Amino acid sequence: MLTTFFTLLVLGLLWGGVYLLMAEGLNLIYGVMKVVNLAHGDFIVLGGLLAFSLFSNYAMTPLVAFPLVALLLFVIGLIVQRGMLERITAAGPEGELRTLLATFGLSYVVSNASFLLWGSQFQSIPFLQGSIQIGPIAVPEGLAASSLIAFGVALLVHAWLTATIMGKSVHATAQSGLGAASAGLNIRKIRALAFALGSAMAGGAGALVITLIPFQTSTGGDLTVQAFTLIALGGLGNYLGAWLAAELLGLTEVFTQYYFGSNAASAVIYVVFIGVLVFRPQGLLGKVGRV
Amino acid sequence: MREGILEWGAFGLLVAVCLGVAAAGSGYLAQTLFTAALFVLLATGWNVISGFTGYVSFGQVSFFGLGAYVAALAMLHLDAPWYGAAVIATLAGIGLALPLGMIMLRLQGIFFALGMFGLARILQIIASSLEITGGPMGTTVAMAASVNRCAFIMVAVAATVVVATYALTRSRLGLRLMAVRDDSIAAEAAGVNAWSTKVIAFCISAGIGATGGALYVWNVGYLDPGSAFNGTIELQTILMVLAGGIGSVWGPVVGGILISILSTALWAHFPMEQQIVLGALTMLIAIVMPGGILSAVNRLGWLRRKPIWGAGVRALAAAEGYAGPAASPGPPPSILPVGAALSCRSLSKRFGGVAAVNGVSLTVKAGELLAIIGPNGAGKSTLFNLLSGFARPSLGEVHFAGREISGLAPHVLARQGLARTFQTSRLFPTLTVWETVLLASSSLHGSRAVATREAARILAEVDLIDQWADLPDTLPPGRQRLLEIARTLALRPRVLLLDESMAGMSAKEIERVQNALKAAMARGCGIVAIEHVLPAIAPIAARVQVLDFGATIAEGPPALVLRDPVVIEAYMGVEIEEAADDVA
Amino acid sequence: MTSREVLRLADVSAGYSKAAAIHGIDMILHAGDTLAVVGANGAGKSTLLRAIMGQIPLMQGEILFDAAPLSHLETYRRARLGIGYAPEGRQLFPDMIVEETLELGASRETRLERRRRIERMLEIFPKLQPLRRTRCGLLSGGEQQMVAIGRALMGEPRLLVLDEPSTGLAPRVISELYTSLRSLLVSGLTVLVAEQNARAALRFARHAIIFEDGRIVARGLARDLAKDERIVEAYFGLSGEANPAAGRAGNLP
Repeated sequence: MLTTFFTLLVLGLLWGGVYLLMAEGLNLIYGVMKVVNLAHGDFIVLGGLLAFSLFSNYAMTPLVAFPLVALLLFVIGLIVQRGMLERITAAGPEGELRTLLATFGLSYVVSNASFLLWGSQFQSIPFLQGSIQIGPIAVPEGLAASSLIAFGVALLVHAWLTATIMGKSVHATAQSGLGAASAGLNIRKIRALAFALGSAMAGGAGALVITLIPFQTSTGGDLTVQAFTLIALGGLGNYLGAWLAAELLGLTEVFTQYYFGSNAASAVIYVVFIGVLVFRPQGLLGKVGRV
Repeated sequence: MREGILEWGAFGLLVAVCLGVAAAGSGYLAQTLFTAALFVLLATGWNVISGFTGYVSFGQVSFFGLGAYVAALAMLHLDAPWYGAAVIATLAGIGLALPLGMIMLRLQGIFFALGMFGLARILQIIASSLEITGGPMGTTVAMAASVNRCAFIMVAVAATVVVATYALTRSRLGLRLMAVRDDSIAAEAAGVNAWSTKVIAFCISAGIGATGGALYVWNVGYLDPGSAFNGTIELQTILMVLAGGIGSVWGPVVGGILISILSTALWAHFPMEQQIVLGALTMLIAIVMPGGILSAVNRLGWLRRKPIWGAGVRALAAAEGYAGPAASPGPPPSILPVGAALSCRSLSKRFGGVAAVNGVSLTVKAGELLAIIGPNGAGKSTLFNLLSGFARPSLGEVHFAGREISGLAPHVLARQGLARTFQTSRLFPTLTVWETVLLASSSLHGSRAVATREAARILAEVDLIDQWADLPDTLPPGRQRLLEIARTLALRPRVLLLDESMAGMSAKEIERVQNALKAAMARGCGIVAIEHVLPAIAPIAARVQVLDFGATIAEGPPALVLRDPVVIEAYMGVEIEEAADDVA
Repeated sequence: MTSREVLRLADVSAGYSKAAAIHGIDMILHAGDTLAVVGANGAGKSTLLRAIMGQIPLMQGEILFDAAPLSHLETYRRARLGIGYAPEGRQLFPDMIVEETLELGASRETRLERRRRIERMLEIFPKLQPLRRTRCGLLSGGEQQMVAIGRALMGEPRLLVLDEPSTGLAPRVISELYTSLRSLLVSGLTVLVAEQNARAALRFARHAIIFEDGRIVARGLARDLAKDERIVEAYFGLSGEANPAAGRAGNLP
């Protein structure tokens, strides 16, 4: 009984790490652009399917594919931001609205391009199928590895944001665009960097997650909602909050799955989502999100 | 007016031709027409919430799917005829939208946008897992006997909804929707309940979507979760409105027809690439042509929106004329309290650890003007927010017309005659001068005739009648301020809160405002005015109260207060003692 | 004293809507000079500064910095050219500590150089010395303003543009702030400051202009303008009307 509980606890916390990486990229983009990228989930799926192709064509393990996929998505993100979204010149609500609509269109472009390339089957990468025994608890190797990498990358990005001058510029732009510009920071370039990095994190997360759960090109929408729920629960733009939310979701999902079955577990995210909307639109730690 | 005839002539002709083709055309033609008309309907529904109200929804397909399922179930289990099923479906759509809107429309737009996105997925999961809906395999219902009949009815319904939407934009509700979209805070200040206005629009939009779903299932006779909550429908709907022109009645019609032709052609020739093209088109329009086709047409002077209830404004103003204070009846004297019209006691507001307003008390009597002065950042505007219901005090209470009012919504207070202006004018970018004043007068007067008469009278009173059809950003700053004051006067205020209303006005404009204010005061209106342009206010101010650092530092008759060294210091700074002149 | 021209505005009009908020402004600022723009709220002072920093487009006219037109340069480019800007409302990064905020003002310098400049800022504003690791959101108004000015100075600008630095500050803090600013002038810095707090600004600056309704109504030496009746008029109202405060003009510094 107790062993089961601890096993679930560990599994939940590990899933939290994976969710964190999926959501953190969106958080980064939201922080700087004040807009949610509706194609975020589709970027995650794209990353996963790219890793799948690298695995099935070149026998590249997800660990090796991870940086490659992230790099590719970085470039795609850069093109999207610099080539398209940046051209929306309107400021304030109108600009945000148009950006949102543009990313809505983008999500269809990305998911259907993926559909053309990979078809509509579920794909997965068999990777590290064994499990590690820690005392009485058995932890799946794949989940442990993915989670550690995800944690590591999220931490690295966070360290980059808080410790390097480049990262601090991103952080500063998120807090005051005018302040950043008066300090001589090129906020257009910083926005592009943030968007590209956020996309890269999405792609990287996809490369890891596809080893754990199978992907289909139409999974993207669900992942977008999931990532948004996490950052909304954490308080939009709040990194610590997002991490807490990711752990909370990981735990809730693992426990629900064990006690109520997988159907209930896949609905959990939506229950949380509705809960956020009704009870805590300001997030766990964030400020009030009301108009 | 001739343009109006042209528009409606063209629309009538289009509908007539479509009805004819639907009735007599081939099955293929009728089916194509059905789809196009369905999309015009859905696009019009989306436009009501996202275009008129400014809340973008990425889950309008939720209501389409819900309507389709409810109609199917009504046909299957209640033996309802198609029209009965459609009515039930519409009600179901509204029934879902009401509680949903009440929650989500209080939040920022992004929560609504993604909430709707999630809703479509939740409904899809529910439809796949319930037995009554046939689970993932779906369900079959009795199909319409003939495609022609189906298409005929669809075109008729779509045309009716478009006409009804047009009527909506010409109504009080339409005016409020546009005001809320432009600036919901200013709309509240004009007596509009922004939240309930949005919820109503959302319900209308949901009802339209659900109707579409009901007619769809009647047309195809089959329904499964994938087709009911199909993302492609969402994409096409949004693209149509964007392409046609968001926020205008004709946008969804124009866009609906063009995009359904395009997507049918794409489906026929490039079925795999259809969604990529539609998605890319959505991006392209959002980025380079946000106004859609209609904004280009508008630039040529066609299909422009005409001011609501604007016929004969000048004549009305001339008839009403400005006849001086005596001619303008105020609220019956019995309502007016003898003492204070508005007062507050030890009012405080803290943001974090900082007290923006710190224990301020003030009283303004009916018919007098209290001027509030003080340097930047002294807490004057926060004080106004506390008095007018836009912010809740941390401590202290506010009394208006003899009642304690803390906690009442701004629009409630505005309708009761507590009107205000804002430090930086908050006008509605897409509402004309006339509509801005009409918005306020129509939130007070139920009768259209009274509301228009009042609005015309006030425009004449402040001398804005010649610009009645202009948009606010074409007015010089002084006139914009004047318009904001006109909006408050249309609320027949018992207390007016003016926040630096005369900044940037010419001497002539100030005279106008002074006269209008004197007239209001003669009716028993009490005025609190934050002002920098003191001579503009001093001749009519009974008292001046000076704020600094959130607290009152002096008060009394203008002449005395302005000689007070404490006041001069607060304004212009203290003398710096050291002799540093030679450094520069 | 009348040396090189740092900033020149020629017939500049700008505004937010279709109607201009400042009209046909002409002004010249020479190297080493200090210019105060004073006037009531809403007179257009901030609009002027935003136009100089490229925050709003010009409707008419031209702005030259070091004799080169700024035309459509973005704000950050103007900052890099050597215009340090402390915007209205300070625009700090509330979650970042003082050192980091300052550091961002010189983001293109080497780490060593950034450190050197931060130390220099802490010398100019000794009050910030013990607060160097405090988050900006937790600072008092005066401290925040010092950080904002410090951030603007980190790029070692030739022109410092300050928008309402005294807003919301207690008189003692205002005088501290201006004392610190005065110590900068020795190095030949050129300063343009918009202020509602006329006394402090006119004490500080050598030249001044008075703004009213988006137009310059008076210009000259700050010490002369401080005695000018027009300044009281600009604050307390329109020219030529009975003015209860006008009697005080002679007593101004």
